[in-house]
Amino acid sequence: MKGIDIRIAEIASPLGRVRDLRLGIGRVGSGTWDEPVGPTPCPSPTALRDWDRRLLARYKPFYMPLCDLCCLCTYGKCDLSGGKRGACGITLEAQQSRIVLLAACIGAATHTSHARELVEYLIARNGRTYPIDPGGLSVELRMPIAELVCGVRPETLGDLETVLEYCEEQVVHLLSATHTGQEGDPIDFESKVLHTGMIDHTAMEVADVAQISALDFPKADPGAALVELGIGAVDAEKPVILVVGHNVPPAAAILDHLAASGLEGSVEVTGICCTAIDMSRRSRAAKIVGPISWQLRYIRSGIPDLVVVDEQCVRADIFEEATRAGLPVIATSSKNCIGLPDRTSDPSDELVADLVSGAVPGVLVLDPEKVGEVAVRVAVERRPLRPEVPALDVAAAAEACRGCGACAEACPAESEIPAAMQAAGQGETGALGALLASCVGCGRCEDACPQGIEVHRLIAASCDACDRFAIRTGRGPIQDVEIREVGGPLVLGEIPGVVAFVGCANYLEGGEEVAEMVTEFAKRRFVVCTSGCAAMAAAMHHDEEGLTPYERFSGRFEAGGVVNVGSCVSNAHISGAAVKIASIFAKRNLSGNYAEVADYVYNRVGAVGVAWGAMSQKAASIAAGFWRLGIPVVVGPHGAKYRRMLLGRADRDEDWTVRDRRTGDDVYVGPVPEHLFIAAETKEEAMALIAKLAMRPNDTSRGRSIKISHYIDLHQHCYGRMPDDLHRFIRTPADIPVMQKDRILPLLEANGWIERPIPDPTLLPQEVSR
Amino acid sequence: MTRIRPAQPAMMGGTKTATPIERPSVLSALVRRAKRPLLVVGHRALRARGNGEREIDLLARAALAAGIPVAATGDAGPALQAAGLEPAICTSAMNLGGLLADPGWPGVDDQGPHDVIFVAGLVYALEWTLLSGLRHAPSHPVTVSLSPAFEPHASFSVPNLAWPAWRALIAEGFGLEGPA
Ligand code: SF4
Ligand code: SF4
Ligand code: SF4
Repeated sequence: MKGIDIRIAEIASPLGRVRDLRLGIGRVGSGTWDEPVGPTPCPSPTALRDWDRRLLARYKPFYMPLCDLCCLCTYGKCDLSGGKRGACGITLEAQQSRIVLLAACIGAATHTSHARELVEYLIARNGRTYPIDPGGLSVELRMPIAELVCGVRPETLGDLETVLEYCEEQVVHLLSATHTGQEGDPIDFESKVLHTGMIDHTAMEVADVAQISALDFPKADPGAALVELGIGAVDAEKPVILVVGHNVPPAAAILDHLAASGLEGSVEVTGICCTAIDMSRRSRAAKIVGPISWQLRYIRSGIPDLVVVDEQCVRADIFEEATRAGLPVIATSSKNCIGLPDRTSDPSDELVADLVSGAVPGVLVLDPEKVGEVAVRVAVERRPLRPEVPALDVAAAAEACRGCGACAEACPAESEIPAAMQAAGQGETGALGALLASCVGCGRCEDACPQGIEVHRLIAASCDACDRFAIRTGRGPIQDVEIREVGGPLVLGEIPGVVAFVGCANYLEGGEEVAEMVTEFAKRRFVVCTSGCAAMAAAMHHDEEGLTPYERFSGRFEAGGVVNVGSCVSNAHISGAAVKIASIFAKRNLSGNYAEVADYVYNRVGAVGVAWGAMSQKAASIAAGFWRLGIPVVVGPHGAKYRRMLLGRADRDEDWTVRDRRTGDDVYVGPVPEHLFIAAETKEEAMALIAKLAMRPNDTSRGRSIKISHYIDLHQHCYGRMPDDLHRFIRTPADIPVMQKDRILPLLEANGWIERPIPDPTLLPQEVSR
Repeated sequence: MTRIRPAQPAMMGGTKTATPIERPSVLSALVRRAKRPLLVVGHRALRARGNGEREIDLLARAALAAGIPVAATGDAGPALQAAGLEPAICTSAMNLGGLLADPGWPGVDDQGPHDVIFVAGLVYALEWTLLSGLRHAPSHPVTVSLSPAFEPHASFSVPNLAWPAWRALIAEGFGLEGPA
């Protein structure tokens, strides 16, 4: 639906000067919604620059170049070290922020394109007027991010196209800013990074709401089904299809074809990465093998009969790997054709015959329904032909090891492979198998080995981790009633925070650490959310009673709940929950009112994102979307390779004043939250950081004392002593945890602590005395 | 001067690379000349090496012998305390990096910026990025990587060494033991 579209370059209003105002009356929605449109509907890349600069004044970038050189244009290569500028005049700092922007643009473009393909597919299937319904009667505010960013309230699949048009336009503008001779100021680049993140969350929300609505996924359901995860859950006697990637239509079509042809239950549909999570939202029969790191070992396991790939995080060598394992491949995405001939127009019978006979090793089929039929038929016909994978003689293969160390040099997990390999050569395979826990399945060790030893294969073969686990499948958004129930305690700090474990599987010490952190914070009565590969990692651990965190804790968005929202694109429901607290609990207008709502979230909602294995460009844009809402993000040690942190300076009191909305006074509130983006070295350090970063200026004394108790406890566990910064977080004697009074009072005295007021906090001058 | 590959060869940084510390005397000179040194110790130093010895125990002895204050990152703090060394600061490596990069930061003891930063025991990638950040920092510290894995972004770095050679270099460089 196209309606009136008004753009105003700049107007003066009682709220200040408003730039780039765009109004889209009647573009989307039924007209039953009467919220006034705020100052920045569909903001341009500069419309929220003022808000960004307020954040970036507190959280200064600490740049850690991965490379001092730039080779983006033919003036280069340019050496930017030692204060030198590139031939175009750019500095090293600006170059780092440019690369961060480039990464974020790749991420946002990927989610936007994902959403576009999904929406087009679903419109073709269900019609443009098909209603959006991500939560039935439980969710009135269906798309909080779209409403906040674009000032629209989409009601049909067709309405989503309007939101996507905006995202696509913005990604083009943002990417263009990375061209040689555009921005030169690092902070302007950083502001655009934040804008990119906001666009990314908007596109993710479109993607997930579209698929929840039209593919019948759980709708904001805290009791979403427990489904099976792990290689041990796969019944290898049946024909087995493996689907890898992030965009669910081909996998959904496979499940639909099975149901339509009466084969449900007789073919195993297994998945790796977010497609796996999303197909488990469509059918409980789908099996999740694991995160991205499982690609090599599962393809080589001899279990699957066929590999179907869609898009994102699929290994670039998956075709070669599958071919080596004797598996036919169907590529299904225009973004990931992997060199295969386009056979979309060929009859299904021909495709099945060619793939079953091995006449062709793989095909590209850009029609999900055809993929559904062909994949099922190929798997069924290939099952009797499945080659036996001969048992691997690890000791014999490992004997070739010369201990040269090339594998260890290549290993991102810093695994001590050579000694373990040499022990395996002498028949002791235990140490080699133990390396699997921290192995990210990259295969670099195999490429590096001069002896041609298949190092990763031997590691996998030395470990018989064939477990099966239970994961609560992605529930989608948070219900309005849940927000009403937790909004008060969260904003007052009495629920100590929301911790969201998101992102990829590039862990240094294995995914089990995610499960341990999830359990720790759920036990501490935080609201814990999970998504994507992190949601899977959280499931891959049994407690002493044999339960996974999803079996042990409720799926409600409540203190002590463990809430799997779904795949990567479901991350928008986590930021969306924070936005809904501002709307449903605090009655703030959302529509085109980004800065005010972000200011609310930043100062009041103690949310922290944790991307413990963040690897991809999408993880960069997802993090950036949280940052712009003032939600800090902690990454694991590999996350330092995103090449810059956003760090606050706790010791600079002048950085930590807010305005009191009631009086207009400037009030020192302490460094809360202290950082916006930081890599932690260990799980223990991350947990101490998370507890600290959950503090907010608005915490009541009761809430703050609860948060400080968690912080002291986790800090002591990591560092072996009391934190030395408690005087910065304690505002009044009532903030001091009762049980810790005797230990804390001397620390306060030693630091010259004085009592200070608890304001009604804001960073925005226009918020005073509203 | 020998040109040494980074411990993870793909982690090349730019046109400049650290000076390798190939003799204990080089390390001794760096320790001696530092006016306001700081030693950063990360949790990887807790790993048992050689015949069950840990890097962290030797590093604690070295810091105590040279009178260098220690910043403990990750979970290194309790092990240092157990070795009789109370860290001057316990914080994350990245937070520390942000502080050390600022020429106005008065140091762990409020007595002024640190001129020489010794670093050991961090995860390789984390140490690599921290040293890169400090290399370009306005505070211009001299950085010395003591980890047994060559760090190209440091001003000076211990080369890639197996445990016995590393142990001997540190012990002699800090004057804990005479030449072997
Ligand atoms: S973009 Fe600038 S810094 Fe990069 S190669 Fe070209 S001139 Fe050099
Ligand atoms: S496959 Fe595993 S062991 Fe091999 S380099 Fe990658 S992380 Fe290391
Ligand atoms: S690279 Fe190959 S030969 Fe060298 S230590 Fe590793 S496994 Fe052994």
